[in-house]
Amino acid sequence: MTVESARSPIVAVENFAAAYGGEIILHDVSFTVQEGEILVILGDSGSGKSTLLKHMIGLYRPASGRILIEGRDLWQARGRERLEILRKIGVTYQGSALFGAMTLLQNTRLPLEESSALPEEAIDLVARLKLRIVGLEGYEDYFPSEVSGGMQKRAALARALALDPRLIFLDEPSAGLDPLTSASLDQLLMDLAGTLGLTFVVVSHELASIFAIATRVIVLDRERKTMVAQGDPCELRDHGKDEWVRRFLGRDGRKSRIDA
Amino acid sequence: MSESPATDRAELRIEGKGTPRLLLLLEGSLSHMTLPAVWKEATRVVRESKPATLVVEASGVDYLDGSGAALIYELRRLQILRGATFSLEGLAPSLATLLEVFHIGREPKARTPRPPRSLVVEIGEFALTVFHDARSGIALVGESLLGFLHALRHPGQVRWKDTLVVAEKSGVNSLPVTALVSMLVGLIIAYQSSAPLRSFGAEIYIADMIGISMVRELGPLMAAIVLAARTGSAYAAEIGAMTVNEEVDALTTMGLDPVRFLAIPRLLAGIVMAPCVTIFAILVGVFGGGIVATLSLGLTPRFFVDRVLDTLATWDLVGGLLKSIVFGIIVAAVGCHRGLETRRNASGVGDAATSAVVTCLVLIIATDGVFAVVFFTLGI
Repeated sequence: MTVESARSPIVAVENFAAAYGGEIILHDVSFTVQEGEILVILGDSGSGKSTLLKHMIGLYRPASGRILIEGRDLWQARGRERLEILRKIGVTYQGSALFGAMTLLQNTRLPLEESSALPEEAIDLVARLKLRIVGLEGYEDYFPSEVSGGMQKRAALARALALDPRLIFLDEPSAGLDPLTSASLDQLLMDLAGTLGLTFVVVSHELASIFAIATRVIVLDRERKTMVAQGDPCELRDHGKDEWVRRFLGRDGRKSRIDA
Repeated sequence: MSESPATDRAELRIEGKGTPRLLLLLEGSLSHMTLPAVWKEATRVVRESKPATLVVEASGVDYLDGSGAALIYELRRLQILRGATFSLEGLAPSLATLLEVFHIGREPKARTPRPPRSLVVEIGEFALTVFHDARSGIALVGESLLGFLHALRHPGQVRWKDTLVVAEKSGVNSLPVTALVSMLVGLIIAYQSSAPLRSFGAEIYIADMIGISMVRELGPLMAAIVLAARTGSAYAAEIGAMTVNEEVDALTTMGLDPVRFLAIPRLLAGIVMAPCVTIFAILVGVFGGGIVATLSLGLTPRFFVDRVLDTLATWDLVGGLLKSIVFGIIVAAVGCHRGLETRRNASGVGDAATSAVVTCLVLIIATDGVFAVVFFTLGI
């Protein structure tokens, strides 16, 4: 790998705009994600965090601008090429989205069964190892409804890791989790980023989690309908140019917009 | 894993096959895309030649993902199981970290046992389910009755808007399919019976037969079957989805009784709409029979209509409509009951809808049988 290609971003969002029913929700959003980063997308409720994420993983089509994954535009790619790009990314959803009729092991095996030609025993072993790294060894035969919310999130992460993607998108990974479980999930993300060199794009509004894991954040604002800041979260909180972003990250309740 | 695969091939060379020291040389990129052939070959040769020492030489490996790590884990496991030795040589340190992440050297933890389920437990649970179903069904009947009494005393508190919406959806919107089904049933019965009637020279009795069978039996039954299929399943699915989304819990915590809020409007709609749909089904069915009688058997339309009206007694219609009211209550009650009892998982709503339709049909036919016996005994 040359030095130059090591610097090229794994995700590039260029002049992106999103619209819903003709109404613009987000506009003029441009940023990049570098390999090995944990980038957190944050913003107030309704600012379009999840919308942005869903555009990045190809569920919605941008109203204008483009989103490149490893230099390739999902909406320019057709058929096989599109599938190839999609297989390089892993996604976990807000509600974990595990298939309720399958055990945790079957959930984790599914992507491998569908997209690889590995023999049965190999698929089984790979899926078990993925459950092992998220700390669910021993729970292979449980159904999602039989394990706790935190374990469901971990299982969803194991499923996202099944095909060894280098880029993982997580929508609100700590939503509905207690602080300790949430912290252990944060630690898991940092371990995976550190040891496997994975890149994470995380939607979150849990400040504690953001300061713990984010190598960089981008901030969306509902009123301005765009990205208002990007950078190191502590830097933005203490010395950011935008007052709203400083307040948002500092969580100064007395000056919140609701009271104003 | 942190770098893209430099090559997109995995290579395997085998040395010392059949000797105590087997050497596997792995090269290239070991990923889930490249590994399938190598995996089969490598595990096969180790299983067959059962070497005392297995050496995996991996200095030529430039990329490794979870599947590659799993291969090394599997080869090691095959050796350890037989008490033989395994060694991994030459793997680049950056790739070796991946093996550590997966704890390749650690034996798998025993599976946490699921609670055992014996046949006795299964039978017991099934019996409990049946008992629970029956009890909750009876409870719903009681609650609905109380709800009705409450509605009678306080008609202002009934959600009339909901009732009208439900009545339109379950009644008015089901007219096209009811028309189709009843018309065809009328036609079929007339055609099927015309040949035997003709052989006795009794064609004119076709009007009596169509009139009585439609009014007393087939009209109410066809309407009930259409309602069960369309409305019973819809109630179960709608209320089931509300149960899964905790909307029913939300009603309860707001101090609103789910039965009064959800079931009463549907029961009222069922009681009112089932007879209406039945009358419609009867008219269309008789019309269907009339077409055959006039076109194939040569009766005049006027004669057919007069004959049908002459044959029918008031009690025939009253009996048919009484049945249809009971069928309407069954459909609405079963739909609501199954909806409120929905299990909270992905297949819950589907199961509720299916079981609502099946239960409705069984109860409708059974009730129809009871009515037949009662009417016969009373001489109606």
